[in-house]
Amino acid sequence: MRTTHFALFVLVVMFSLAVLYYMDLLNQSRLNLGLLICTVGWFAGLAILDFLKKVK
Amino acid sequence: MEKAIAKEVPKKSGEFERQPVPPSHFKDWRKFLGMYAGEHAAGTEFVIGPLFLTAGVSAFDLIVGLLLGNFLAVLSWRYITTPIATSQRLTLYYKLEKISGRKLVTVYNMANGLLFCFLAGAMITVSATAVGIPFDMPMPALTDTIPNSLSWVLVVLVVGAVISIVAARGYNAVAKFSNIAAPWMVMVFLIAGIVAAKRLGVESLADLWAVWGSGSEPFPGQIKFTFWHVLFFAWFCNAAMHLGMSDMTVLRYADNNSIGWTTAAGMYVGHYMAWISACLMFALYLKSPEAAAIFESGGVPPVSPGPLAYEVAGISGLICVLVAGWTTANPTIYRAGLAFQAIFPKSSTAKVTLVTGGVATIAGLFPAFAMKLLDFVAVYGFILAPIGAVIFFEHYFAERIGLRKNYAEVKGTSFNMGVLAAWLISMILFYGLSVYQGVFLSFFTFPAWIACGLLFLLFSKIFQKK
Repeated sequence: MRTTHFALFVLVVMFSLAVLYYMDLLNQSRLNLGLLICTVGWFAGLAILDFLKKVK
Repeated sequence: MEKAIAKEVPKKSGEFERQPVPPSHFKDWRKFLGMYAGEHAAGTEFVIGPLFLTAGVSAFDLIVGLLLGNFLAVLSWRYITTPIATSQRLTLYYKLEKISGRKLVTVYNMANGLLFCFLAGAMITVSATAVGIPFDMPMPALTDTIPNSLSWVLVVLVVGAVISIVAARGYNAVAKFSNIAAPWMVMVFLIAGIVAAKRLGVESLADLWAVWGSGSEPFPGQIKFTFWHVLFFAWFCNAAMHLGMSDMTVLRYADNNSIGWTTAAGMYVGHYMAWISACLMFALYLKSPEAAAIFESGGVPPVSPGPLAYEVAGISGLICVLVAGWTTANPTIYRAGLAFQAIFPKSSTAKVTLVTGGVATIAGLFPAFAMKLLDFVAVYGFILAPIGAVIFFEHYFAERIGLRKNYAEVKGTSFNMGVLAAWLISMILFYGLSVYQGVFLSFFTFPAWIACGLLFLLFSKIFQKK
């Protein structure tokens, strides 16, 4: 369940960034940076959670 | 679309390849919903969307045509594929073997394997457009059929080699990675569409309508797409899966027929949202000074997924294109390898997969497969779909007209000539008509399917009487 919550959280953050961009509250470079952080967070976070699940 | 192939990859033995799935292994709709939603958001969506624009499609034709075409595809899955899958509980291959014999399944595998190789080649092309950006590689133009630079050749060879080696050595790891990446990829597709729409000045539905307006003349080398082209393409681009019964392999696990509706998740995420997003990305590029300069010089702007995604989503967009192409090419090459291995059973899976990957990489060198993807996908569905008609017509009509079901199994033959004749005649007849009349091939997929089914019943009546 924790993995699902984490995944949903990252997806919501990504979508929120797009909405902020659409509302002119974020410029393109900030959006790109935010998306990159989310991308790294997505893969690294899920890999860590998977590893922790296996260790347990 | 093509990632649907991933689910078909036969797993290790013990997954009921040659026996009906028992009730204890039935799965509910939740398993299918996520699987279909992720699998139809693949690397090819980045190319198919823009290609609609190059075909001069209008806003209404695109938005409504895709809406209805995808609905017809869902209906095909629900009312043609799922009832037979849940009634038989067998894989397509085993069911086909019972009707047509082992040798004819080999012929089917050969056709399947070759088509998968070319499809994987298009995925490698897609990934190469992302990898080539840091190297300032010239992207292939829409009209290019052969490699346009040495750097293109090198990048494709490296990408193809990596994908092939991974497919041969670590299929399961990539399959797992693909599942993890799927929701993220869908979100990047959505965000890319939102960003492109914003930059095109879309603030209402009317603005979105105005982006394409009433359409335009098709780009050189492309045919003009109308509402009917879009509708039939959306309906039949996955014809091999629904009319062709390929998805029997997956849907045989469904605990009831309503699960067929879950394919809507794949259609409306991958073949609606993702295609329209990719279309918007390309529309944005067409308004750029670079594209204007290409138009002015009489050239044709390239359809390069890498630069398109980079423009709207930065490095995340590039990673998305790379991952989408890679995670789709991987199972496609593996699947093609398995198809060929059925023909050469003594060869090792790894060796056959490597050779298959080599063929796909060579295909990837030629941008024609990616740039003519609309035509290629139409051919792919057209060739494989009629085989599903054999299963459908046998299931519903064989006993009514006094035919034996599972004729090859009952008779102990390895080659049912009636099936091959029905398949070939329907294909040659309608392909010939399409070429001779200059008609888009997807218009003939359904007539060819019906013809194949009827011819199968006719030939079976003749052969079984003998």
